Amino acid sequence: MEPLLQVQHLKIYYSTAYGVFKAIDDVSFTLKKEETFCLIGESGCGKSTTALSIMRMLGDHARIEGGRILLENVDLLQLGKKELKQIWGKKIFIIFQDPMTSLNPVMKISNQIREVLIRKENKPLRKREVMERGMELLKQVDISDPKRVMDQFPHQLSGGMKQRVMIAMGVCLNPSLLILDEPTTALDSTIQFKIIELIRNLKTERKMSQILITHDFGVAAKLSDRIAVMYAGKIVEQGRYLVLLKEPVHPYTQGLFKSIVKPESKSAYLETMPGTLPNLSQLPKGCYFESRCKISKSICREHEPPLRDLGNEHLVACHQIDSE
Amino acid sequence: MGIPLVEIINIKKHYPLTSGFVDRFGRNLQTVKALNGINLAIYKGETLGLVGESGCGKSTLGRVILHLEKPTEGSILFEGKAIGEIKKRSEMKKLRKKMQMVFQNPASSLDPRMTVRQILAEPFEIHCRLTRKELENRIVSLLEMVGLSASDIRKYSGDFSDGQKQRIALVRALSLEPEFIVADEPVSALDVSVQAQILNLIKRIQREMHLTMLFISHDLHVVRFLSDRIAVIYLGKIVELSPTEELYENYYHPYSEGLFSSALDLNPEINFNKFRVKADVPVSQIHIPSGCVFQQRCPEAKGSCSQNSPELKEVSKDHFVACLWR
Repeated sequence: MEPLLQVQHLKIYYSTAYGVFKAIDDVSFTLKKEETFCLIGESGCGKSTTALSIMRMLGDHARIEGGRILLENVDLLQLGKKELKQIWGKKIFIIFQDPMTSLNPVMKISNQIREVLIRKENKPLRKREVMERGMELLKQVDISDPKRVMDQFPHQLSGGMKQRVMIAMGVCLNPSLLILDEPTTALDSTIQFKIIELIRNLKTERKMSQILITHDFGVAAKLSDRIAVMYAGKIVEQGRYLVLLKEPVHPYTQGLFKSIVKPESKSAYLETMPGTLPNLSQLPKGCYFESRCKISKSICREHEPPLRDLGNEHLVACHQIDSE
Repeated sequence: MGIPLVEIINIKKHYPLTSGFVDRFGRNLQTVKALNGINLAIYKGETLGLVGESGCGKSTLGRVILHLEKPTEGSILFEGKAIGEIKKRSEMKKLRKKMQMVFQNPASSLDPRMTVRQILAEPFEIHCRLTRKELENRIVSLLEMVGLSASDIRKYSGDFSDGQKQRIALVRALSLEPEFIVADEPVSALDVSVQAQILNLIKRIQREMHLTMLFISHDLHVVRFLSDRIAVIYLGKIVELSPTEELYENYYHPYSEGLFSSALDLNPEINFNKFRVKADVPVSQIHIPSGCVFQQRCPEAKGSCSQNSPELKEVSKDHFVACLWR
């Protein structure tokens, strides 16, 4: 099947007073149509930077050091402002972690939905039509009192309600690609559950391809088809979620799964990984995970690990794993 | 179960809103009712987990227990003595040594412009008289207890990672060998791999120091890992209280059911019980309904739920539920 998005050898570096900070260092992955691809990892791994690169929303001090991001065969990294404005909201839409900063705090919900409707239709709309269509959209995200919500300001809504409004905007715009950057992290678990259902429906019912950024494996489990585990700006392992869950191959992936508190953890201690993330402006020569790895050998200190294809869409970057 | 170290008796904490509606006497008509009648005992040597979502009052309860905030009503007893009735500063100071807190956000609970030495010396400077050498030795042994080293003494707290900061905060709380610790979401702000390290550390300290602890969290799995008993709190009331394993096998309250059924497993093929809590109802700590606090979101609310406020009643050994129907 024709892929929707192809990220090829992406490198995003930041120049700082302390040196060059390699936020993303040669990241490649493909998003298929009607698939949810998840970038997962801990703070500093580069997952949010990747999402923002696709949206071309990185700050001025970020340097696109290399690579291409192909959306339907057009390289997003080569587009100018004018062309990007055609894509934002139409082909790609992003939902952030904190809906308070995505929604305009001084505009009522009805006016924010009007903006989205105008973007979609490319023409001005009458107030009545905005209200009717807006309420219809809010109903589709299970808001039971849409009339009241249309008339409110964002600060009058709870976190979960605000995220539903964002999802409703996504429903309206119907982009080919939806990027979700930690969409439920700020929400309570009983609210998160419902929001995850809504996000899943966007894929199954509205055929929206999704890139999901999260640090939470529970969320990844419920939403992802394939995942990529990131560490220090690189993808260390990628493949179908269930495959990685049952047989994680990279020592970092294995370490992450073991660190997660599960019911069985009760009376024992958790298995932890020693050490911490390397300094992204002073990265080692070979494998970035080497200093924390139990199976590393001298080759790991000398050379960056190659990407090995284990078959079944399962890829891993490690010297110590044999290919099929 | 032993002797209670801390007794929480009918604690209420209401915050008046300073703007908004006032009556003709200038009294605030609107208050945020964070705690609405909490009765709980924490026994010596146990870790009591306190679980609930945002706005339920768990952090407020932690602060009220430690007398960081005065309750609107009710009292806290520590070793049988009412904290609110202590008038002498010297007596209060002695009490403060015995109970300490670890906060959620490591970055804001440590002063980034203080060195580790200054941070860890502070409790001793307030409460003891130690020689310079004694102090230095104590600080180094505290650091080593949590996997840091003597060379970290001179560094500023702002130079450390979140995980390391949380270790410093932990060891600061333990430095005067308190009897009781309130840990308010100590690992929520940490990455998974760091969280595991800190949880192991807390477990080790629990076992070695026989601490009594109130462990506050929104994460069921984390609470289970460390707690002997668990209290579930919603809108300022305890809705369920039970020994840990018993709760995980037999939760009774509809809100507990909601928490458990919304917990996400790593395996997407595992489905917990059907999730039934109403999720889009606006919930306010200002307008708490009369009767049961959970009625607006409860899938099983009936007429009498708005008339009668259920109290905790025992449903099986040491297991209490506040619901008219369970």
